[in-house]
Amino acid sequence: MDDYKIKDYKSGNYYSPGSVSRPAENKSYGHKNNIFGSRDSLQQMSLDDRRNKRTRFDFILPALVILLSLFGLLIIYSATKYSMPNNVTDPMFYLKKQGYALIAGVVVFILVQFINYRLVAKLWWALLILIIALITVVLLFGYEVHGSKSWLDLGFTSIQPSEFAKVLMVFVNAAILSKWPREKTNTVSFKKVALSLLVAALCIILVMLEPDYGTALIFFLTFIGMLFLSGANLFYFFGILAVTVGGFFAAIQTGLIKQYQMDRILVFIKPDIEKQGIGYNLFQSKLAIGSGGISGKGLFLGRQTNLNYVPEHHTDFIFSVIGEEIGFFGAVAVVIIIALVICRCFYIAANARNSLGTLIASGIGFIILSQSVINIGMTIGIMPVIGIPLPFLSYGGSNLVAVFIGIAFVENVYLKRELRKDYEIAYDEFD
Amino acid sequence: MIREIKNIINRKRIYFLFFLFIAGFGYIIYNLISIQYVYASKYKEHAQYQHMEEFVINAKRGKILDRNGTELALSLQEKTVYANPMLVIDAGMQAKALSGILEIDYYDLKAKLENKQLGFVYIKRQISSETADFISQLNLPGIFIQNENKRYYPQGDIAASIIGFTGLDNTGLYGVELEQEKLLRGIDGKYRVEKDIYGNIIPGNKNDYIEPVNGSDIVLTIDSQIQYIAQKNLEDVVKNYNALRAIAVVMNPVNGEIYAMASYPGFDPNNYQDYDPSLYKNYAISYTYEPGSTFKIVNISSAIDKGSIGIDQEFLLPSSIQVGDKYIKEIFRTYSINYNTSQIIKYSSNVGAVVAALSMGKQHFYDSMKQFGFGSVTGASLPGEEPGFLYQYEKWPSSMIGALAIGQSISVTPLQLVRAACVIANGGYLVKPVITKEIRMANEVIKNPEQTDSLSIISNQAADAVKDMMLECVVDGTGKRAQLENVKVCGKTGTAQKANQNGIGYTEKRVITSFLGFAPYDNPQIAIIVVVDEPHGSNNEIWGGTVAAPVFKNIMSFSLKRLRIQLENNSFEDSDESGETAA
Repeated sequence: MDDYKIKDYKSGNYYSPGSVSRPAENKSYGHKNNIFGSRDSLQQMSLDDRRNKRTRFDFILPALVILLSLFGLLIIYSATKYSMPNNVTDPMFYLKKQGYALIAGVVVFILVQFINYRLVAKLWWALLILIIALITVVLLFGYEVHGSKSWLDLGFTSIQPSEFAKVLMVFVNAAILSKWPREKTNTVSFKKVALSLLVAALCIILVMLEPDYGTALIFFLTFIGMLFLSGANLFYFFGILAVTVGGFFAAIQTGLIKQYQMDRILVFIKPDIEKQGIGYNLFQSKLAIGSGGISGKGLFLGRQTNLNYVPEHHTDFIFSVIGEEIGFFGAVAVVIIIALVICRCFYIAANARNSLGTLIASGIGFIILSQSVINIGMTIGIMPVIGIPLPFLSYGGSNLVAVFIGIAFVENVYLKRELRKDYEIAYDEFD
Repeated sequence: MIREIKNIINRKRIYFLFFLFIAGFGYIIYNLISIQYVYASKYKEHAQYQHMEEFVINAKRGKILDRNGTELALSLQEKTVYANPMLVIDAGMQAKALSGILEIDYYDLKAKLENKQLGFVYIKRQISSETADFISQLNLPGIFIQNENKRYYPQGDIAASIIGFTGLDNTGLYGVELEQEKLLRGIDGKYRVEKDIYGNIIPGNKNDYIEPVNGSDIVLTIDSQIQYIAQKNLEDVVKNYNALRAIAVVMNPVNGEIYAMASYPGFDPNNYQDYDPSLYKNYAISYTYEPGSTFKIVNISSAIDKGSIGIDQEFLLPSSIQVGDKYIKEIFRTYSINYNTSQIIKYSSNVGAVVAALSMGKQHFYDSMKQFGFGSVTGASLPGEEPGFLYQYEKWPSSMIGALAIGQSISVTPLQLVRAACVIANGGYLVKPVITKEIRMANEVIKNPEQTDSLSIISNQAADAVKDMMLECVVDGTGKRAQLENVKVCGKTGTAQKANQNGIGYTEKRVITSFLGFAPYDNPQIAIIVVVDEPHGSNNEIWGGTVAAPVFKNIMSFSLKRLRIQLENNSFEDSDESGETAA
C-alpha cells in the first residue's frame, strides 16, 4: 500500500491513501507536524486528546502586541517628557496614563479569553445598538478636541467612543457576513451585503458628524476589506468601491468638500500647497525622520520632537519620534513587528475554519493594517495627513484598549477555533 | 463541496491582500531608506539649522586711559528691557508687574504689550543690573533683557579730538577710537543654543559657548592735566583775541611722546551729535598752514648743518632782498644791518633767512626739509593726519626758495613743526610722535608699541647752535613773553600772513601767530607749539610773541611742574606720584 503516496497540495505532506480520515485531517490548515506530533501517534489519539493539543494558546500574537505596546510607552515617555500639558509638572504624566490603559488592555485581553467569540453571532444587534448609542452620546455630550467632537468625559477619564466603535463594527459586520444559523453553507447573499453596508454606512455617517474623517476612512477600509474576504461576489465589492469614489468626486464637484480640505488631503503629493499648516507639519515630520539617519539620535535625544517642531508627536506623529531617535533600523524594526502582528491576525483568520472567526480576525487585521499604513505613510509623506493614531504606539488610552479588545478576540478566535474535522462537524450537525 | 470552493476563493483573496500588504509595507520601507539614508544628511542639516540659534556676546570695548591711568573713555554695560508682544500672554498682568518694578506708566506699557503686530518694543533702557536680574527671574513670557554697551567719556571734552568717539553701533568713528578699533573692540563671543519651536531656549549643553575676548585697554601718552591746561589756555586766547581757533601740541622731544594735543573750539564726545562735524577733527595733525617765521629754525639749522653758513658768521643784511621776481623785506627794519647767524633767529630776520637758504641752494634746502619730515605724515597713530604740502624743488619758481626760507609756500601741520623743534632740542634726531604708551591686552601688556629709533638728521653742533639761538630769542628777542622764572626756555615766534582764500597773495589782516619752543635749555624735556589762527586786535599787538608766547609760557610752566621736572637740577622723573603736584 505504501508504494505510492499522494502529496497534499496545501500542507506539502505525503500520505498514503490508506485510511479515509487521513486526507481530511491533512486539509486542516495550519496544522504543523512539530506541534502535532508524528502521524503515527496522531492515529492513536482520541478526539479529546487532539482537542486539548490543538487548543494551544497562541503566544506569538500577544507577545508581539505587548512588545509593541511597551515600546510605545518608552517612546511616549521620550516624546512627552519635555512637553507636558499645562499645570502638569510630572514628566511621566503621559507615560502613566498610557501605562494604565495598557494594564486595562491586558486585563480585557485576559477576560475576553473566558468567553467564546461565537457569542458575537448571537449578540450582534446588541453591539450595533451599542455603537449607535456610543456615538450618539458623544455627539450629544462629548467635547471637542482639534475641531472634532469625539471625546466623552467619564469623570475619571475621557474616552474616544469612535475607537471602540471601529472594533465593534468589525464584530457586527463579521456576524452579518458570516454563516448564519440554519444556513447550510456560507453564502454571502445580497441581503447580507446590503445589511453590512447599512451598518458600515451608519457608522461612517455618525462618525462623520463628529466630524472625524480619519476614523470614517478606517471604517470604510475595514468594511471593504472584510467584504472582500467574506467571499462576497466581487460585483458588490467593486460596486461599493465605485459608488464611494464617485461620491467623493461628486462631493468635490458640488463643493461639499472644500478646496482647502482637498489641499490638506493632497498635501503629501504637493508639499507646497500648505507650507504653513499641514504642509509644515509634514515637513517637520520628514525632517525628524530624516535627521535620525541610519542609527538615530538615541532614545530621548530627538531634537525635532522634544523641541516641539513636530506637532502631535506623542499621538499621530509618534512614528517621527521613532524615526528620529532610533533611526532607520529602529523604524524598520517597528514596521516589521507591526507587519508581523497583521500577518498573525490574517494567519489566525485563515485558520479559524469558521467564517465568523475569519472575518473577526481579518477585520481587526484590517484596522491595524489601514491605520498603520496611513499613519506611517503620513509621517513620511506618502499618505495624506489624516489624524489617525498608530496602533499600540500612539498615545491614547481608548485606541490602545480598543485595539487590545480586537486582538483579544483574534486570540479568542484562535483559542476557540473549530477543532473538529469537517466530517466530524457534518456528523455532529447530522446528529 | 461548496464550502471548499468558497475556501479556495477566500484563499486567493487572502493572497491578493497579502501581496498588497507586502507592497504597502515595502513602499514604506523604501521611503524610509530614501529619507533616512539617501537624503539623511540634507534633513539633518536643515533640522540642525532650525534648532540652533546663535547669540552674539559682545566683547567689552577696551578703555582709553591717559599716562597716569585716568579714564578717558570707557564702556558701561547697560541693561535694556524689551518685549516681543507676539509672545506676551497676559498683557494686562505683565504690564502691572513691570510698571511697578520699572516705575513706568501702566497704560503706556499695556498698550505696548498689546500691540501684537510688533515683534520688538523697548520697554526701558539703562536699568540697573539688580532690576534686570529681578525681571529675568519673573520669567514673564515675551519679556527679555538685553545687554548694551554704551561708550562714556568721563573727562568730557578733554582730549576729545585725540580720543574721538564711537558711533551708535559702538564702532570707532574718529581719533584713537577709530585708529585702534580692532584692539579696542576685541572679539565677540558666540553662544549657540537650542531653541524649541516657540523660540524658547533649551537649557543644557553649553558646548557651543565661545567666550568673548574683551577689547584691549589703550594707554595714551597724553597727560590729561596738561591737556586740560592746554585746552583752557587755548580757550582763553581764542576768546581774548576773538581768534578763529587755537592749536597746541605738547611733546617730549626725546622720545616723541605727546603729552597734549589740543585745539579750541572742541567738542564733547559724550554728545558729539550736538557739535559741528568740522570740530571732530584733530587740528594738531590735520590743520595745515604756512608756518611763517617759526620755520626759520629749519632753514637755519639745515644751512649750518650743511656748512653753508657758519655759526658765528656775520651777514650784512639789507632791508629787502630780491629773490627771483619777488622782493622779501624786513618788517620793522628799513636799513641795512650786520647780524650774525644767532641774531637772524633772535630778531627773526626775513632777509637773513633768505640769505641762509640761498647759500644752501635749492636741492640741499629741499632735501633737509624732506628730512625734517615736511610734506609727509609723521606717522603718529591717529587717523586723519595731513602730510602738508611741499613743492618738488625741480618745479620751484625762481622766487620759491625765498618764500620757503621765511615759511611761506609750504603748508605744515602743528605736529610737523613741533617735531622740527624737537630735532633742535634733542641734538639733531627726528623723533616719531608717539600717542600710544601701552596696549593692555587680556593676557599681555605691550609697552611703547610705537617706539622706533630716531634718525639723526642734523649734526649735534648744528642743533645746539640753533638751540642757543632760540634761547637768545626768548631771553632777549621776539619771544620774551615766553620766558619762565628759573627755567631757560628756547623758542621761536611766528607771525604768518594767511594766504587769501583764492590762493593768490596775502592779506595783512589775516595772520597766524605761533610760538614754537622747548625747555629746559640744558636738557629739553618738553617741546610745545602754540598756533593761534586769525587773532584780532590792534595792529601792533598781533604777533607770535604777543599772542602765542604767553599761552606757550602758561602751558610750559604747568607741564614742567606736572612732569615734576626739578627746575634746579633739571633731572627728569616720570613717576606716577602726583600727590604734590598742583593740578
